[in-house]
Amino acid sequence: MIRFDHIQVTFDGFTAIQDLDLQVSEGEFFTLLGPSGCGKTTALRTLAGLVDPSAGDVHINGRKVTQLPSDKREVGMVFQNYALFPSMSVEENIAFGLKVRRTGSAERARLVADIARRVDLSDDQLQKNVSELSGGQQQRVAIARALVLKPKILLLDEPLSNLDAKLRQQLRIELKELQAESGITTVYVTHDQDEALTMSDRIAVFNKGQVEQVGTPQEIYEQSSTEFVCNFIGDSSLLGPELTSHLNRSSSRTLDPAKLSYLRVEKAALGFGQGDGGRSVAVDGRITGRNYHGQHSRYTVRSFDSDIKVLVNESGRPGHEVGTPVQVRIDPAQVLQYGALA
Amino acid sequence: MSRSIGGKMLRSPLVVVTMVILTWFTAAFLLWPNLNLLVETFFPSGQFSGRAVEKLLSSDRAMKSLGNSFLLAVVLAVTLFVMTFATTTNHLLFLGNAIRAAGPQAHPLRRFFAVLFVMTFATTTNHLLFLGNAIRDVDYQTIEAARNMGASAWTILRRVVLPVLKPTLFAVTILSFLTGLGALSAPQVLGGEEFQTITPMILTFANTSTSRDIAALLAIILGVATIAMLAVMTRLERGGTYYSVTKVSAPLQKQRIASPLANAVVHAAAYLLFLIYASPLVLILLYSFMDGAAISTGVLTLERFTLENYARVLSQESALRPFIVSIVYSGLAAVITVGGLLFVTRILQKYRTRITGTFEYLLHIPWILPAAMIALGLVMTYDRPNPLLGGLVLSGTTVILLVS
Repeated sequence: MIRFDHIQVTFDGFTAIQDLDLQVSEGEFFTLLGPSGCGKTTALRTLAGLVDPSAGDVHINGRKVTQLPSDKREVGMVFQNYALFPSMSVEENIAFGLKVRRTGSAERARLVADIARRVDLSDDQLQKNVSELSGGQQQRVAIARALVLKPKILLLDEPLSNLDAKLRQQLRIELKELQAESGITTVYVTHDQDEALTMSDRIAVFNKGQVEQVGTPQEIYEQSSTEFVCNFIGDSSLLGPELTSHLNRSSSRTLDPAKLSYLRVEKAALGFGQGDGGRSVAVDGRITGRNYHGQHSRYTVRSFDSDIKVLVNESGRPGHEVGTPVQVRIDPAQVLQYGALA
Repeated sequence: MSRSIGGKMLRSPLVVVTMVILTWFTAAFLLWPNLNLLVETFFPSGQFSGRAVEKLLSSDRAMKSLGNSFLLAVVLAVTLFVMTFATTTNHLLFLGNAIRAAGPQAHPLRRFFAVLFVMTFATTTNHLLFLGNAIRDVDYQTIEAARNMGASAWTILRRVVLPVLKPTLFAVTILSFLTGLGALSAPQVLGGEEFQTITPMILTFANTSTSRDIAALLAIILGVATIAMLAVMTRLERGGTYYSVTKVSAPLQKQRIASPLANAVVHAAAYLLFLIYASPLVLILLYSFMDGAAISTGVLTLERFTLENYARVLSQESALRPFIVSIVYSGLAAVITVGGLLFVTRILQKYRTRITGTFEYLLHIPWILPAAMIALGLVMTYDRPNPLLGGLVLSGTTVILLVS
């Protein structure tokens, strides 16, 4: 469906994208994930035809579109700040593209009403000026404006980043439902790993203009292929060589103490006993910090040369005090190892 | 609530003193001179009189100046749309002088164009300042969104960009109109007898006591036109959203001009404008090193080079005095205004009552009314002893210039 063929983008000597080679399948919800300035938005804008690549080609449905202007690519774009036209009503905003395409007024009204219903905008809201709407409603208008033209591909550039946490979660679900319902191929840009993991069929993790890993959310999380992906996705503890050597002494899996070793926060557990069939190794430590998060607490335990982060569901029980000696159970098979220690 | 704020105000001696001074200042210099101008014009002997209107209607010069001013205002508002890409200074008067110098008995139309030319370039700064900021505030992503939906450059300009610029365009048009209407220096230097406008005529008529009422009426017409235009501007600004609704708008980006011909034309126009704006400055600098003969003939040669102009200006009292007076007056006015307003604005912001709100509006009078009307009001009010100033006469003294 979509193919980035060795795309390179440079701005005034700065290389925003080095050599992007990526494919997105039809009907897929594909996310470009990465920190600010990693090139993910540039990649999206290149696909939209708003940025000219300095090398490489973009293909859509097997057709090279690199030289095609944005409106000839059949892509609908939702911008980070929605880019709504401030002097127009909601209805005029949604109908803008249809008017440009000289769609008849009756057909235009029907299409606008139809898409407004799908994104949950009332007739009342359609008559309002966009400035009178909340952030969430503005976002719906932006999506409606893009979808009303029935594009083959929907591009979303951090569309939830300006919204509060609760609304973000709600719209995440709605957006995913809308995509599943319409089956439209969607390329979504975000720096929010939760968004990426919960919404995507596949994710490409960007770093410094390059793709570090492409895979399903589970693959990206469970089998992070690089140290950057491991650090960027989820929460991990860096285990020192003394601790990994200790784990080796009590486990059949041999870890290389000379390598960078990471353990996902939920893969460590506090307490004694063998709840995992004897795979885990208990290490002694002392609590050095505790952050209360409501549903759970996040402890930091000092053990050997490492600070191990542990999530504990306390369910109303009193938490452990800082300084309390505890044991942490670690399954060495869950430790992810990357390049050599510095 | 308001009473308790008023009580708090009265408990502070500094606030009381400041408010007393502010009341006196507002009454003596902002309200009464302008009201007195109306009284002297329409009630010269205590009863209503249309004499000033009759005199104005029967004065060819005055009526012509009114017509010229409105003509200049309208045409200036139009021409400024063409010229929004460069900066300028009052030195452009020099270029106008060059145009006028084409003939001592120049045709009135030629004089009109000389004034218009100079004022167009001299006031481009307003357009540049306001319109430049407004253009910078256009959210570039709205342009990209429109482009993504297939809109042409013309549609984007008409339906996306211009609606956002609308209030600024109206504002700068009205400001240009008002600048043209109240123009003083350009018509005075370049207009001559053939092209006179309101403000220079106010000065002319105000010099003789028999025609002062005409000057006052002209000033009132100027004031009413200004207020009417500002009211129109305020009304136009209401009832529309012209700013980006986003929290963070994307800055405009430079556009590549695809057509080589258009690229060449735009560049040629830009260089030409630069030349027009830069040449008066360069010429004035060059002429400042030339002797009188070179200046009068307009021929620049190395033999005519001299430092005598500088030596004379910097050493002769008569030449140096206007500079020193200007600097001293400007400095004093700035210090007094800023110093006084430090206290006043603090009080007006801290104590929000109807009274402080009214004072805030009254302090805008100098901004709303044209300078010529304010100056004439002051001159006509304080040319005789007035109880508001403890029986002092201000007209003819250096203080009135500082006050105005």
